[in-house]
Amino acid sequence: MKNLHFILWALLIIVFAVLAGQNFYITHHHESLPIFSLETASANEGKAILDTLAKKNIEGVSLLHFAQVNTWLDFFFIIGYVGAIIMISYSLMQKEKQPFINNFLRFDILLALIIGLLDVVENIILLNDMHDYKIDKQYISSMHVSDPKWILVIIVLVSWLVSLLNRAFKRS
Amino acid sequence: MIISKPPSLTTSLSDMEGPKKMLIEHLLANRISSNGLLQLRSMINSDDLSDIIQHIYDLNEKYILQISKVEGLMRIFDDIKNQRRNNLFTKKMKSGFRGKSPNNKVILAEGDSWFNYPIILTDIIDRISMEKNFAVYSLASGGDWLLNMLTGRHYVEELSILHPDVFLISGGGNDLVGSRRLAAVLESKPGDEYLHSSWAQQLIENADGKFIPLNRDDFNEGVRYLSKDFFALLMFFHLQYYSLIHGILKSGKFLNIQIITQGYDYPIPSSKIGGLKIWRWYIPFVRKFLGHSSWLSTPMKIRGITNEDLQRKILYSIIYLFNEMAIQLGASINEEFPDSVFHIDSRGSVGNGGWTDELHARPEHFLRTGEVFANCINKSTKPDYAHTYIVGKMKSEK
Repeated sequence: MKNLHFILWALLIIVFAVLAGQNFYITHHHESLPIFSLETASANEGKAILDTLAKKNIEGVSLLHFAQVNTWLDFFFIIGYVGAIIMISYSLMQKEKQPFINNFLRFDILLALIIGLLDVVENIILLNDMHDYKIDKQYISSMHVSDPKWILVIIVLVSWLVSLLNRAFKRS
Repeated sequence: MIISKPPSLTTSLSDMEGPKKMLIEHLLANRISSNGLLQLRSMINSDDLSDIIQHIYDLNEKYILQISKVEGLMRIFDDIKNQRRNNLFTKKMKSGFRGKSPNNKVILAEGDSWFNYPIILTDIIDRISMEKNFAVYSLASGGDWLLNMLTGRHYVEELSILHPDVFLISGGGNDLVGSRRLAAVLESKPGDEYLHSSWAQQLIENADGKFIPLNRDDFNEGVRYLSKDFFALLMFFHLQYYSLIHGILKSGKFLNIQIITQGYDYPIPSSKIGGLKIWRWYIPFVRKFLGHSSWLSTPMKIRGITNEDLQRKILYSIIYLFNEMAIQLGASINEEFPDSVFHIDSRGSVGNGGWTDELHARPEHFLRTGEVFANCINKSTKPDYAHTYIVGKMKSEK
């Protein structure tokens, strides 16, 4: 289990580092990759973002290509962060005496899996939108899966915060 | 109901000295008196215990140990959880935990899934471990039999290394219901074996009904389905617990050690997986993959006991007797070693709707039971009576 923990954390950190490296490379060339905006954009906004990405390039490589690579890498990132959410929630749960918060942290394990699934669906939608992109291609917005995903992420973070504050409050 | 015996068994019983052999035969036939049992426990050794269980289970020792062994994925998950707990224990020890405060307690836990439920649920030891002044070393394994714990004797080694302030033991449940054993200790038609067990009747007469009320109607109906092998097994538990606890205290090596037992709650037989409830999303998964219905519901149906209310009453009588056995055993040991043995009484605490599966309470109940253990260890509250702490119902269920 220790090995699994190590592998998941390592995967998360490596993928994060690669994505950060890609972002650094792009910003170094005075461009940006608005992935979060793309995820949460409506159909019209998303199409506008893809149009912009398709037109711009860095050293002959289209920003749309960078966005596609970023999305493929995100699949590995999903495995890492779902594992991390489960590990952190479980670890907090093992220290949480208050039944409601303890149960909430257990619920986070389910939320982590749902978040991961929503992210997979979101990536498939985005990759479909980006694949063989043309100005007149029909665009499907990923916001309908992206928005609930972020809401669930916030719920998980709030439950962690509540658990930490509850324990800190009891200690004091 | 001894069908056939391995030749070695017949030899070993007939080789025993007269009175002991006679008492064991009476125990196996459920015709032993209370005094006879007391007499037997003072002369019994581990070989005798081994012979008795082979007769009760109609199996040779090798096979019993094989079926009682925790193996496969369960073993892996058990070990992972214990490793995590024991790493924390070592970390505390390295930080000088023992010398830091007189309130700091070193605890050794041996037991079954109420002490180590390996995934998802928060079990009793999880809750106990949350106390900052406790360092818990766990040998507990989900699915473990009391027989296996006593035969493996891993606790003996850890007792001498750790010299714990507290020893927690939870066992017997799997010996009764593991590998569908429950079917072997039930009668398909009502009988009168209880009336032949003066010891069991005495347990009920001495039970302090003020604190854990006895529903006589339910008990009397349920107890009629318990076979002589059940009463022999219950007396065997008594002898095992006695041998374990008395052995620790008599050694003189563990001065002031506090030993705490527990006796489960009345479980509800069920074969239902249940629908998906978002807040308790884990219940259908636990029920589907971790043995639900194989412990209680199926063995009872094998014996032709299909009425759910009757099934519940049978288990009510089993758990009532099991707890009284542990309480009264503790009381008798406390006469010799005062204030050494305590019992955590969970009877009635979980309620009908509080179960994850047939045997395991939902986390909020385990948290509450663990809190009562913590109170007992810290002596932050007094026992509800004698040396017994009662978990009681949740406030919302009262």
